[in-house]
Amino acid sequence: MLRLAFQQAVSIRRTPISHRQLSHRLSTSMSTTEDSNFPVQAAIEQNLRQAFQPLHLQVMNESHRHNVPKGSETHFKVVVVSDAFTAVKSPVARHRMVNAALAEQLKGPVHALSIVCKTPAQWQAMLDEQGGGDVMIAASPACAGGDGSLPKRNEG
Amino acid sequence: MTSQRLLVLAVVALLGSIVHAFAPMRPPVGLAKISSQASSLPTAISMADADFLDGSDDAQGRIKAMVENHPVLLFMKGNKLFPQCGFSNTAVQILNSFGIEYHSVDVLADEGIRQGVKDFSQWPTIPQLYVCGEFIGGSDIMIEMYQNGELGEMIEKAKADMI
Repeated sequence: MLRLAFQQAVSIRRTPISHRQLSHRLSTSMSTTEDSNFPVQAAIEQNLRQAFQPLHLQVMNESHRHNVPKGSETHFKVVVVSDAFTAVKSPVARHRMVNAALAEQLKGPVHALSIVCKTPAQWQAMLDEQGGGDVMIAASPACAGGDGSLPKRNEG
Repeated sequence: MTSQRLLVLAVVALLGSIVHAFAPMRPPVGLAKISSQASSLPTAISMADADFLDGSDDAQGRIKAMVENHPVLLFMKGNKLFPQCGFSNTAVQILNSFGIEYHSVDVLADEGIRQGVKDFSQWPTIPQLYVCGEFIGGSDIMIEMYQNGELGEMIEKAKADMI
């Protein structure tokens, strides 16, 4: 019960959102994504859940913010809160764990991956610091046009 | 043109020709490798193999050399003035804020380097930062380390290596 309340208290957006939206958003991200339109997102969620048994997990498809066609699954931000990171202090080592869990996706369709990985204690500290309720995670930087290796938004 | 300008141009031209005399242009890498290898390997290596020799081994060697030669080295998309990726731009802005000389490599200009650096670092994405030969990470890690002061400390150490 406490854990659920804790999870419901957390929102990963730049601006606070209402409690009703919170629950909806969290339940969407915490449940299995069965939408066959987004297989890469589903695979990422499954792999991260398997690897980290996370206290909190959020997988955000940021492709719409980049110069790729609508419906792309190329740019993601993941937030992983897990005890698995407690023994691993170095940020590089933590990121390598996430990279390893998502190796298949990274060799395949995923072009960019932004990672936020925290231990439960760090996550709680962030909550406390930000006055409880909502956690602000910095948005990924704006697209700079792309390197030409992916189809563009207005093509295909 | 004034006679002063002509004099400057003449000096520059003279210096340029002296430099060229003492530091001739490097031969194309493929040919250089063939000639240096020919003495140590069986003569089975023919000119036709030159293309294969310019593959992944060469990229790994070049990357290693860059990592060793530059105290602060950023593999990125685009260059410092014109980053072609938001994450690479973030990395550039952070490094610029320290006001130091740093070397950036545009992986988009060389597919061998682009894939090679992912293998070398065992890291799947660009940008990638090396400080004093040590792999630091990508833009997320740079932001985190910038905010907690760790990156600044590393840059200070790297400054000692920059004469």
